[in-house]
Amino acid sequence: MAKVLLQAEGHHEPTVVTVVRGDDDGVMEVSVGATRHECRAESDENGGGRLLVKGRVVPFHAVRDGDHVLLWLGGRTYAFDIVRPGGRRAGGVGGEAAFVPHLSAPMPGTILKVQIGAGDRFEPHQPLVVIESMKMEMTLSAPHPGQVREIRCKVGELVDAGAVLMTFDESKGEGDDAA
Amino acid sequence: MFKKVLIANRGEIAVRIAGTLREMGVRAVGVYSEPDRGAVHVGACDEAYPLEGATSAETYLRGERIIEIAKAHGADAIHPGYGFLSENAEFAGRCAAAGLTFIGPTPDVIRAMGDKIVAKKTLADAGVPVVPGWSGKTNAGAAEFRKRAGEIGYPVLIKAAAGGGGKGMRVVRAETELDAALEAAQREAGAAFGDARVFLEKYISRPRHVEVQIFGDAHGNVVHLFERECSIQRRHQKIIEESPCWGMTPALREQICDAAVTAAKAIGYQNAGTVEFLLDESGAFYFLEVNTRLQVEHPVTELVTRLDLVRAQVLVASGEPLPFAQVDIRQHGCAIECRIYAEDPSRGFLPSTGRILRYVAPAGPNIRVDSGVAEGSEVSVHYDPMLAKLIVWGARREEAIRRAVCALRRYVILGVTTNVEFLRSVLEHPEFAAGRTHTHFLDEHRVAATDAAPVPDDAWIAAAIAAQQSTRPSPGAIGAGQPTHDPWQTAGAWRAG
Repeated sequence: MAKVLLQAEGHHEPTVVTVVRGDDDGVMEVSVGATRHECRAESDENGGGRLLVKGRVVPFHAVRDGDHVLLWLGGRTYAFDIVRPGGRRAGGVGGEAAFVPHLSAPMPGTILKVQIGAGDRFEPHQPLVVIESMKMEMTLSAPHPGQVREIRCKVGELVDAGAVLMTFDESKGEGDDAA
Repeated sequence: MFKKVLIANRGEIAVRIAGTLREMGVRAVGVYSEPDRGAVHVGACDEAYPLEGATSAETYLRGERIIEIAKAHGADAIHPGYGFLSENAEFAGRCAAAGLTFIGPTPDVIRAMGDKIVAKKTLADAGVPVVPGWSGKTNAGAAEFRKRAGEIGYPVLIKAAAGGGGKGMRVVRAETELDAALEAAQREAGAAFGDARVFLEKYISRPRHVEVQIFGDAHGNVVHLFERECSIQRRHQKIIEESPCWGMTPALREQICDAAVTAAKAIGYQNAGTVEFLLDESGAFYFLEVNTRLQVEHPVTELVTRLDLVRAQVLVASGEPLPFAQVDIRQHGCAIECRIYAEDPSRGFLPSTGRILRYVAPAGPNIRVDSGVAEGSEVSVHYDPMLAKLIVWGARREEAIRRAVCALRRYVILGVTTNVEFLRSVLEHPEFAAGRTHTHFLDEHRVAATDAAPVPDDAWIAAAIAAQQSTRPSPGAIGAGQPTHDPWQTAGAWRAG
């Protein structure tokens, strides 16, 4: 029996999927949360996979990339994180937009404009930085209210994806301080 | 006829041009940047030579280096494709000076039409209707712009004189927004085109974008190949195009196509080009601009007219007369193109980069995929994020829409985020089916991909099985069409394990 904890992109709660391998026919029992399914997985000739669930044929394509699984199934694509036992993934706090203590570059690009200063407060959706990437201007806006602690980029600078452009503090009076 | 043609481009358009050149018995010469060493377009050519560097400026925009390669390897002509050097009059002139044929219009025409202000004036003088606007002293200050915008009446549109692709373009709804928009448009225009001049135009609400394919030769023949409807746009860039324009009366079609031919004749147009118009809700149309190149969306015209536009471009450039007369050109059925972009529609169409780990394009009768990528391709930050184009044909529009939806449903791209599901949402929208398209369609109907939909159990199961496979080998081991990384190759492996 193998237990896999998966978290789908855009979903807060991970789902436990249990795979129990059956006999030599490759039949297995898979539980998704509390629901049980009996199915088979096979490879098909175009290099993809197929799932046979009670006679239904469900073609899919899946690639595992480190701790991620990318999946195409039924005309949709999905991204999953494989959650390590005892491990934690960012972002899974309750319903509202979680406080993130920094603004990072979503992709490599050049900083065109910084529209806020250190110590300034900002509202959700307020434009903070304009970045040029792939010859297009993009405005990076505040994901939530807060206050700028430190600006870590300057106009004209070429930044990598994931580079921290500025750090935030939660707006005062918002209650619990994480520190 | 040419013996060898150099294709100064990359991606799907380089692949598409190489295909026609080969069919014509002309050798296709490719060029490639360092990141493009293993790219699909390199393999589509008969010979290919490297351009040192990675950025567009270092590689596909380096006209003098490309001319040098063409001369060194005995090419007779250069096909610029679209983008890059395709609308660069200076490059077209340099080709001629080096004894190479530039496959496109003459440098004078490119220059005149490349300047949107000159183009508008030239066509207005020829009697083609134009959008009211102001293109006077273009280096005037914000005060002058404010005054002129007031005269035209808000909302107004700021556009780059050297523009295209939505760069340097801003909608201004009220005077208070003008200064900031002007500054942003000028900065973006300056960065994108090296020319910060902008002009004003009356902003027409809910217009349809309709363009006419034109073709001229060196013998004075000019024809049109009917219209394309390209209203479905995000960030002022087209993502879905079709032909014919749904709901257009034969009388209006004749008027708009005649206007395009009038325009082409007025400027002595040779080779393939496109005259773009805005069509308002009353049926009035206004000239927008002339694109002096092969368009991204040319395949919809090819499927509807059953003609090969690249072949005609090559013939005309070599001095032959147009291979078709106006009476021979007919519209058959309906064609729709969907542009497949590496971008995330749920995050403001932010471009997405990475390696394509899985790629299966749909195929079947009346389905055409012009693709510039394959499994293993790297989508880098250096170039336009368009990966491929899906073009379908149907006897009627509903049939074409259904075919496109089914083809998109079978399009597998893993590794980079794409707009495939978003495109399907657009095609499945009842207002799209009804043909009520306009350039603000996506904003007005808040079309979204299916992100928020729950994950079905089948997907959890497939993902859990994949999660139990060993991780893929290092990226370097992945090559186009090599299924080595595929966990499904040996279903027994995990059963035994």
